[in-house]
Amino acid sequence: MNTKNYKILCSLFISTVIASFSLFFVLDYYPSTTYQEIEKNTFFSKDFDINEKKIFIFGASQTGRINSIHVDDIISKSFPNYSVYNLSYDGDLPKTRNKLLTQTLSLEPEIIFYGVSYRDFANIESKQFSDFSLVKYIDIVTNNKYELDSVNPKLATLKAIKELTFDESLSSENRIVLSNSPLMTLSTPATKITSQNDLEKSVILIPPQIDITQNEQVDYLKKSILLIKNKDIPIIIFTTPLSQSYLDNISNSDKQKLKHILDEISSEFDIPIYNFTNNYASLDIWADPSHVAFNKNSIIYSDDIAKMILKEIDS
Amino acid sequence: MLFNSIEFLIFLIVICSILAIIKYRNFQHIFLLIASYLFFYLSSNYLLSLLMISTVLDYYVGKEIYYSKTKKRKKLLLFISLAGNLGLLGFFKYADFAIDQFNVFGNYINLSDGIPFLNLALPIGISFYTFQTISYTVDIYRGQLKPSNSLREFALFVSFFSQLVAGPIVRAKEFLPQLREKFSNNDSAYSRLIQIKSSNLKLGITIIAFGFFKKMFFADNIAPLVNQIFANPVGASSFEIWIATIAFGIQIYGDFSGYSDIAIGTALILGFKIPMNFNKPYFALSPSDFWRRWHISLSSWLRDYFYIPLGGNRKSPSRTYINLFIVMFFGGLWHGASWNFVIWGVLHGLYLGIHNLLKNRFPFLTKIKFFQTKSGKIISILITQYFVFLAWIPFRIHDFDHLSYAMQKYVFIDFVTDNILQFILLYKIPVALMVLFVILHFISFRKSDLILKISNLPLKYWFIPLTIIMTLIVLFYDGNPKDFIYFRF
Repeated sequence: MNTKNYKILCSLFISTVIASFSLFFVLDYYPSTTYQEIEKNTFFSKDFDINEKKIFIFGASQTGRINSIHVDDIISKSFPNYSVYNLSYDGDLPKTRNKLLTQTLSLEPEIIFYGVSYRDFANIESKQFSDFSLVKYIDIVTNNKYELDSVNPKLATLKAIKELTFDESLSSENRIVLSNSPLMTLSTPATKITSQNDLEKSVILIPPQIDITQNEQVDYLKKSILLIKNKDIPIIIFTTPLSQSYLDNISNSDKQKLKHILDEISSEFDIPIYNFTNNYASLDIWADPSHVAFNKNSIIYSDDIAKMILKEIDS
Repeated sequence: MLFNSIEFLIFLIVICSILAIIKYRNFQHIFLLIASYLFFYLSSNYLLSLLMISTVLDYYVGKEIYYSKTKKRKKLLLFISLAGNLGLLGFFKYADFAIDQFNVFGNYINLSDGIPFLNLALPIGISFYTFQTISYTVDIYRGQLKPSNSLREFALFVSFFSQLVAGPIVRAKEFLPQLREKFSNNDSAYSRLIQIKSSNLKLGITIIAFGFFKKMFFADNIAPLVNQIFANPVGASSFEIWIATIAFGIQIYGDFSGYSDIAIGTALILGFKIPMNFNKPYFALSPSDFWRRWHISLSSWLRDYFYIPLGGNRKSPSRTYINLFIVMFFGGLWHGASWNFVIWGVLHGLYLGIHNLLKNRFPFLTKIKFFQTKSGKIISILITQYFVFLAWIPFRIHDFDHLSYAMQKYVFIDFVTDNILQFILLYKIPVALMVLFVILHFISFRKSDLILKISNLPLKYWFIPLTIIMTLIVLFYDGNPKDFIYFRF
């Protein structure tokens, strides 16, 4: 290649770097989801009917794919006083959930279900709650399209415009909002089922290995359980489902470690644990390797969650 | 593999780097062919075999046609080529549509159980590459083209990755000579190698950047408004239908011409010149003018290989209208196995027919001086675009109740003005982008060589518009690369 080509490519490289830094700047100052935003959600200041018995579901995006309206309908048929609220949000971790707990428990839930998976105990800090470092940014852009999806530069840009123009009405269009999932909105791709073939070809972000000797997330989960138990609120843990292509990438050692963590929690606090991890691994219900699609053909996930809730209410 | 994905950018960089290393033309062709097949395989998996079948069939049939002595044998061979290509296209693209029509008819005359659907996967790009291979054999039959002497060369023409999936539809007589002798306007000496010339690289990058800009900044960010209104237009006011229709017109232009730009720019970096596919279609003065500006490679293909063989305008005026109608009917069906596309094609057939009828019956109309003035041209553009955008409604809405409601609201304006401000405020980002698009479309119409001018800027200035475009793209990217609309065709 001649010198002129190198100069052209250098100019292109500089343009790319500037464009990337503008993205980095926007994402850094206007992250698409913030802890503060969730904390300020109107759900926490809502007036509830005093006769209403609230069932809360905690977890991250995997738990967010539960059709909470459908689950609520099923529960209401047998127990008209009960209402289901799915309080999952993208990127949730035991540590950040713990920060919201006092506020959440002030709403006096009747029972809490907490969905966890490998990612909750891996050595990662959710980007939404920590500084958005350049290293993470490069990692996201180069390695993981699902993470890139959750970053959503457009959302951050709109948020920046919103703050600069004091325009409160700007928002991302075309997202699905469920009335009883106040902390989560779903994008259109979340509703589409991906074929097994495409799942196998997908880029999979495998969380770093689980450390069981010193695991901050486990500690926070235990703290949360203790806090909940102290309020005499029953808590049930369930593991969220994963696709076969995801599970194939998890090492046996991590599978054992997760089992060990959950067994320990179960015996220490005497709480039931439901395992959904492998239940639908080979079914055509996946939006991506670690998320069930929010789709009527994936309703089996929500049906099983409803069965679990009914069983626990009955007991 | 989508053009608007990181995978494609990596793929392109790898291809350019390896081509720059290879110093033998034949090896470059083989490498480019393998890369093109890999590109197709990543999008279509085993359906790559159809592309190969089509390639082998037309390569050998083309040769046979050329060396056949009798007209009868040439015709027979051409028939085999057409039957093979159109057979593949018909079977994979239209089989279920035909079964559906048969079942509807069967139900009407009380036939027993319908025929089950085949549920075949639609091979990506089949509508495009079959048209390319058909043009090859037809051109040989007509004596306008010598057959390719090498299967490798012909296979590369059919499968060249940049335009394989959604065009532009390239003719063999335009592409094959470029494989044989590569040269740049700036060079005095011919070079037989595929070389990345700085002039091509800079212009190619500029064209690609504009392509991404049209697709990812405009089309993808206007799409939410279109989807929201057209998902269920019943109950929408005429104003909302008009805005959604205009938005869709901009979306599909941004989407498809953006794709074409990326294809053209990519090919140009490698030294291949692919003809322009769009030329400011929304400034067309008449329906005929629109089809000289919109999807040019398809409209010229339909003209040369369908309209002219049907008789074109060489017979009676009434036959010309019928020919136009037939061509646009099938042009619509080419876009997809659905009556919506047929309605779109039929509407354009009617527009072209009526425009021709008016020109023939009332020739004085074309001589009215007013239509040569600026105001007259603006009125011509507005009238033409009114009908062009009307036809976009059936292209976008597939539910017939929704379609008839939206078309009624578009034609019979209800003058409901209650919620106009709220509507604009609700969709302020897409609406603002629509306004910006119109302004930029006008600027590019007035300065037709805008991209060339930007490309010719010294490097220290060239990177400024490039940076602005790239920054806008990344800042308005919502994290989900969206399919190009024409990938479905």
